[in-house]
Amino acid sequence: MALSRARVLPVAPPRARRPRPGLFASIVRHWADYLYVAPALLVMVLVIGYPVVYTVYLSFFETPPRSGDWVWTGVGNYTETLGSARFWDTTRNTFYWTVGSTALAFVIGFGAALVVQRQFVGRGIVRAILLIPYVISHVAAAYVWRWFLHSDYGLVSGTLLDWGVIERPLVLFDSIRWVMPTVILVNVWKEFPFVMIMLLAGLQTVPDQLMRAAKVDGAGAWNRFWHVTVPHLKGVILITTLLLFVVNLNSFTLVYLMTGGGPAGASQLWITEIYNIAFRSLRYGEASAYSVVLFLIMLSMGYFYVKALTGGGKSQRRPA
Amino acid sequence: MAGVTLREIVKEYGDVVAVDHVSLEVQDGEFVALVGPSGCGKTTTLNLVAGLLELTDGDILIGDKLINDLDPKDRDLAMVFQNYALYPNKKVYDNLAFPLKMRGTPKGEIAARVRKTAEILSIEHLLDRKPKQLSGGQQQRVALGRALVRNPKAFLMDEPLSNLDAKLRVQMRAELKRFHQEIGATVLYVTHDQMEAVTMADKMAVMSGGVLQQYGPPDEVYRHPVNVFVAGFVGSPSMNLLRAAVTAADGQGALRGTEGWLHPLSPANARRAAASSGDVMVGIRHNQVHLSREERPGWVETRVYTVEPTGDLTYVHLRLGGQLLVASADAEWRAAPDDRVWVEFDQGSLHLFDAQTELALPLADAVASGATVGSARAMATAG
Repeated sequence: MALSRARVLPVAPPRARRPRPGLFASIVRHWADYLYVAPALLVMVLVIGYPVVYTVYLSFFETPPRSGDWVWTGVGNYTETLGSARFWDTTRNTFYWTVGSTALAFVIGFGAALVVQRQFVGRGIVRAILLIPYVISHVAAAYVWRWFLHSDYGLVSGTLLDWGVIERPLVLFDSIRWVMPTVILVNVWKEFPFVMIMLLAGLQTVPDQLMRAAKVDGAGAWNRFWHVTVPHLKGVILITTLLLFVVNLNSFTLVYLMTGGGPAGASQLWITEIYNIAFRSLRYGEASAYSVVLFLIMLSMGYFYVKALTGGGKSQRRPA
Repeated sequence: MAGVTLREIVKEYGDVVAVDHVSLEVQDGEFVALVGPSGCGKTTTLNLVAGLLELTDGDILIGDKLINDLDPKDRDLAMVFQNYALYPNKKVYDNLAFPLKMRGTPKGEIAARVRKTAEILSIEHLLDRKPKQLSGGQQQRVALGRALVRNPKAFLMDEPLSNLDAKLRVQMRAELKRFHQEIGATVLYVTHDQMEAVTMADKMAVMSGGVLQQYGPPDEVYRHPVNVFVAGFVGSPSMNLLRAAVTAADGQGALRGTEGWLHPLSPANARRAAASSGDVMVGIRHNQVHLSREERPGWVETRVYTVEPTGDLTYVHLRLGGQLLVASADAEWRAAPDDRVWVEFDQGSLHLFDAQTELALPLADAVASGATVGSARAMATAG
């Protein structure tokens, strides 16, 4: 340890600590900075802050559709929402949808990324084709798939009937049992290219030297994947699944356009349900309470989301 | 451990020949350095031996086993990389254990061998750390340990010291040499730093343009470079190389530089020079240039360009016509820019090359220094 002691150089005396300026003084000193962000802040307050406050306020009232009255009910909307079996059915559907879609899209997207990362003839074309679902609009995708899979005039059902593979029309969207797997599959088709792009970008940063080291160390393809690729992609994998999870939790368009939440609520998700309560049944108070509940759930998930996004660097810090 | 033999190996990328018929024999327990400038094919050669690249032509043997078509994992070679290539998510222990685990070594044996390796390299206290928590030198040692742990047939090292700072590099150089001597490892070591090759290797192989230029003990390569490229590459500062015509003055052989200077040749050197097809390249190392502040007969007049005191000795850069010449002098030697200085080249250590072929002109029998070119293989330089 003599070496490290010899390296110690005389250190400059610590600078006298200036008193920390007060909040107001700080704002005054940086007034120009505040001025620059003021327009953005103002817009945020208007389009996010105001609706949030308004929704919370509204959630304590009953709003009978025929009159314009607001009737104070306290936590009535909340107890009614949380106490209904329908809420829990919808919650179950939503998690089924979210977990199922995210997991499947992840596995298929990862596989696709691994395939199109390899060098082969026509790779560019394959990559482009696999990206198509991602760039198609949700509305177009929903209608195309509805027509594809419709039990009466759908392409799939009709063709299978013609070929004699099946004897009765293939009922998917109208089946309580099959509607969720079907909409999830369509969603996976729409989402897997996103996973593919994210992981492809990650795969291209796997250090070549590490791969070669693993080869020389005797690792086969699977071990190289498991011991080098996956650990290297850990951050990308985390972010990708979290993003997908949040997006799927908030899904509306695909399901609403393909099934409207039916049959008999079998494919009802949180957001489609809120939409129905608010804009079809016009029960704004109840929809607001529903929204506030979801807001709290999402907020707690957002905590993990932010933590994963910002705390990832913890293990990368080097000791001084 | 086992020897490694390369027979006429070739690696082509389309029209580019990265490695051009290289033959090399590394004896069991020998430390061989592959040196050359960037892009000379040395790393490609190493990767061919490791099996990370496919041979275009030729044979590679480990011991007497042909391994051309074996997978890297079946070649039983260990490799140390420039960036260490440690698995960042694994602790030091697991990094060391990885090659053993991949070979299905029983757990108890893995633990014993990892401990033993850590002990040899004095890294026992680091086993629970992640690579990112280690200094460069420590990472280097772990990388070495990962190679050492499974007792490979030979070690392949790809510029393992070039990411370290200068001081640590010198220290690790000594450690590596010691390590090699203690375990008697066969090492094939790639570096662009000829100093590493000269200080550590039993033999050095100088490459340029994919072609092996010279292969022999560092001492021999330093003293008897077979061509202009090797002469200029090995040694620091680089050998002075001047183009000159062979002529006669005062009834004895002499060199006439393109800038007009005239330097007499000893009879032996005159005979060597006469064998040249035309002009010659004169090679002279800095410590074989004699300096004088007064004019002397037969000495060449130069002007001081700059003086570099290094503490032990002083490098004097001299202007000879349009060319620069480096000479070394005593630690106290000083001069001002543009001072006149006369130089003489030591006849006994003068290197002469054919300017056309760039090959060394053979020493006239038993005249000069008594040494022979020996086993050094001369090949035409490429580029």
